[in-house]
Amino acid sequence: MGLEAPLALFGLFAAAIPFIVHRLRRTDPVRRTLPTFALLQQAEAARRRTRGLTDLLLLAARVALLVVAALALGAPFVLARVPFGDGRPAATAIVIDDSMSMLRGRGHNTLLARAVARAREVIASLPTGSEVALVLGGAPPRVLVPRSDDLASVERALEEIPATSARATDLGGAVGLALQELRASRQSERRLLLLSDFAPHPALATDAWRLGAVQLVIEPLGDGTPGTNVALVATDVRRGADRDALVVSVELRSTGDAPPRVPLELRRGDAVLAKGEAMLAEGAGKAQIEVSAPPGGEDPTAEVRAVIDDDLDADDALGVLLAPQGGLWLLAVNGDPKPATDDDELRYLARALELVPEAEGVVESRQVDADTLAQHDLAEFDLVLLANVAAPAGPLAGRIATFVRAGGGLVIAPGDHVEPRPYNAAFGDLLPCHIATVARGRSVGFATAPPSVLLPRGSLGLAQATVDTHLVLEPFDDAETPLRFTDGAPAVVSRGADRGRVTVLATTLDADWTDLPLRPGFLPLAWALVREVAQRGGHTLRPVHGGQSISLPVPPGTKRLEVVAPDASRHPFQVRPGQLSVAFDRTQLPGAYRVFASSGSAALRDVPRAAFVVRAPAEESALGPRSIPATKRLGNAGSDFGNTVRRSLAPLLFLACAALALLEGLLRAPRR
Amino acid sequence: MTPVAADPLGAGSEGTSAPRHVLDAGVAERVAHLRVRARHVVEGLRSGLHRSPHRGASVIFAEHREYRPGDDLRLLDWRAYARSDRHAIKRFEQETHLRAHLVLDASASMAYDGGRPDTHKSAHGATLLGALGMILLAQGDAAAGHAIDVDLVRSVPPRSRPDHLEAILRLFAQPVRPKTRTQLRPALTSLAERIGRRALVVIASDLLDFDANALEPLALLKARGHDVRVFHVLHPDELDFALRDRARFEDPEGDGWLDVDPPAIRDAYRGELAKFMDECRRRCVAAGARYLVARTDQPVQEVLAEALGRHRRGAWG
Repeated sequence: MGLEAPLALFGLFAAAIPFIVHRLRRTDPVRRTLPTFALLQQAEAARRRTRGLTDLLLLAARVALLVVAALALGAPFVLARVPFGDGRPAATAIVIDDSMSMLRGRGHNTLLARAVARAREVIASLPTGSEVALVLGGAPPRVLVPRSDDLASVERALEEIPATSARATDLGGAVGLALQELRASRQSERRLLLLSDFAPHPALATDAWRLGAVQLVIEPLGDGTPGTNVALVATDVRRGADRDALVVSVELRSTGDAPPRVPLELRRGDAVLAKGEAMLAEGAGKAQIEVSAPPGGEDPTAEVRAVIDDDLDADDALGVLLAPQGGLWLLAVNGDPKPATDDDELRYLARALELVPEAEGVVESRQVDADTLAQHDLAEFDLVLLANVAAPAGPLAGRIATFVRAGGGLVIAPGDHVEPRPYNAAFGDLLPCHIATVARGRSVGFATAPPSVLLPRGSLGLAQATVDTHLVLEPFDDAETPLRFTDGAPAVVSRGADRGRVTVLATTLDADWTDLPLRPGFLPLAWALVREVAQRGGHTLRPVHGGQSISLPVPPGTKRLEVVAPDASRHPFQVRPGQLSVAFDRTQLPGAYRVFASSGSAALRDVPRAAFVVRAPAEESALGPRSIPATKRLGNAGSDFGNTVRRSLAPLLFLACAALALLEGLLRAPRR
Repeated sequence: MTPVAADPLGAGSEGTSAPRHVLDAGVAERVAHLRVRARHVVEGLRSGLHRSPHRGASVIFAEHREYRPGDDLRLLDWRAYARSDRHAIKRFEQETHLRAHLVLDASASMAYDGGRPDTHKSAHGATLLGALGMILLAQGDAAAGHAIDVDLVRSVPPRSRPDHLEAILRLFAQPVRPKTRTQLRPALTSLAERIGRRALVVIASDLLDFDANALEPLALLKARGHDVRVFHVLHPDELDFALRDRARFEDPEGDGWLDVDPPAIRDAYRGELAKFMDECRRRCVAAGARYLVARTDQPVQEVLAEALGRHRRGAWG
């Protein structure tokens, strides 16, 4: 406790006034006789019996009034600890890191739970008139509650933050959103509270922060140490030696005092499908678990779990799809094989597919020559690519057509072995166009094409490519022509065929007819062709990070799509006619997601090929050491965990003065 | 009736100052018409206005009795015979003169005027008794004067000569002895032993004797056939206690003092005073005496008129 104006305490001497007045009145009083003195004595005795206490209280009240008034004028204050701020209304943005590393902890005492509790404490301590915004720092960052002065509703919104997460961290983006919310506030005091474990993933790009007058408060949660953690960081599913078996490869990383042996279980729900064990050395380990492949069409979702007690439970399990992983199974038929040479028909395509980022998908391809095509079961594949392959014979063409109509994809790339008339005859109306002839002798380029479903990036990177020879394609009415040559002739024609899709290229995938394979635009073009054509009937097993949006292909004829999350929550979507994909962004939970589709009134059927897995980035398992921004570089930044503020007692004391004055009046009243 | 010259009340030592002014001409004139009639039958030396306990020849018919041989035939009531056919003799009351004893409380508590000489308690009591004495002597009654404090201090014997008033007034004009306490019991007991036959006893006192037996002599006087009247003489300051300023109040009959804020204590004081006066009234009535409050700011003639008028109607306070 302290005093703003300590000199006012001299007023305490005024407390002696009642005594002094009382003494002055007692000294040298007027003297007089009264014959009824005895009655006066009796009256005084009686009065003292009844008023003695009252007089004492009156004196006490008067003295107390003077003392309290003097204290009030001294403006006393007490130091109070406020959870946040200085007790004055302000605009506050609270950034809560809801990435996976914030799930560190035991039971309900995770860092995320503590962050939410801290946010609740801060909101509850803000005075009326304050504004609060809530921003979540897991990737992608998002505003949970825009700036609002309804503190109660903001506090209730904290309950919407899920207790689990598979998100990466994007504190930089979250701070940017928070600063946007604060910028429009009318409050002169603006603060940004950052609640995170500040695990070292990724490094915060604080240079881009423009705090201005915003006071940054950083509150690291947890002790910032790496701790003891075993994380499942990757899985891979391959076909075993037995075609009915799958081998699930698991990659682990560890920190701290992790045991050398980590038991693993492959589970679907409560059922343990298989067990394994990983050996850890120098912070890493691998394991392989063999399991029977579920029959086609059955639920492929499962979970690999490390049976271990460590500092972060969220990375002890990974969702897995019990299906050959690789994203796409491509059967590439090489019509002009020249292995290990630049002239090989599929050299450039294979190279391009290898360069596709894993985040966009994985393609498992098998190259065969035209002679061995008939020996392969096309059902194992999602896409058949015929590169400079002569028109297949009737039965094979029939098998290919059946494959396509059942949902497979077919890409036909020309070459010297591709003759228009045989192809037209072999595939008939399966093709999206009529192959007219081969145009030679005139060089053309690729015309600028807007983004389309088949070519999401349009003609990006194709501007400098030239084509010397190309097929002349005559698209059918219902075919798409996403790309043309500069002379207007179709360069790519595509069309659905029942549940599958067929795309015909007008030029080669090697450098025989064009320098396209040598141009930057070849890679995205090749990937788009493979992915989009196969998407129609197949599925992609590319990993999805928590919070990311995934584009789910819509099986042909689908009118209703439903996604089932790992917690069994269902997310329905109505599919518009012609809609080819559905964007799904409720990927907060880690694990395997299933997709169901219905063509209308029919019951929902499982679409195993559409299932996908959500997992956190591997770097989220690195729990420490923490990386806290050097706040001094951030201008107005400060770090405090609650402030000591002065709370004036003067109002209370003045109120007490009023009460004492009232009491003094009441005690004095009967004396009149 | 010649008023006695006076010095300021209370000046000088005991008995040394000149007698004070007791009965001025104005008061005397105003009370001259009043008459005192003894409530009870008193004995007197001579026939006068007051009833005698003895029946005899007089002009006031008292009662009839049956004629007995030897009665004076002049006393036969022929009208009664005509009405009742019975022989009856008239009996008449015999009037006599009143003997009155006027008793003034001369204790120190009576020496109070509250700063207003015209409301001096002792002077007021003396004037009251002096006026009464004048009335009595004027109607041929005998009056005696007595001054009491701790005992019967001074007395003048009862006389019926008109010039006896001066002696009475001179007695009452003596100043109060300072620091003398009011002790009614020994004083009134001495008085009762000295006055013999049935008489009128009028006491003017503030009765500020808190002894439980202070007024016991009144019963003794009553038992001896005296008609006792008590004037309770009190100053307005004592009755109303309307003082406002804080003061140190001192006991005129002792050494005690008390610092008092009058407004703070007024209600309690008045309550005590009321209890005291009620007790005095009760004791007087219980002793067979008559009680009347005499405020010193009330004109003497009004007090006497009230006292004698109530007497005429047969009731005092």
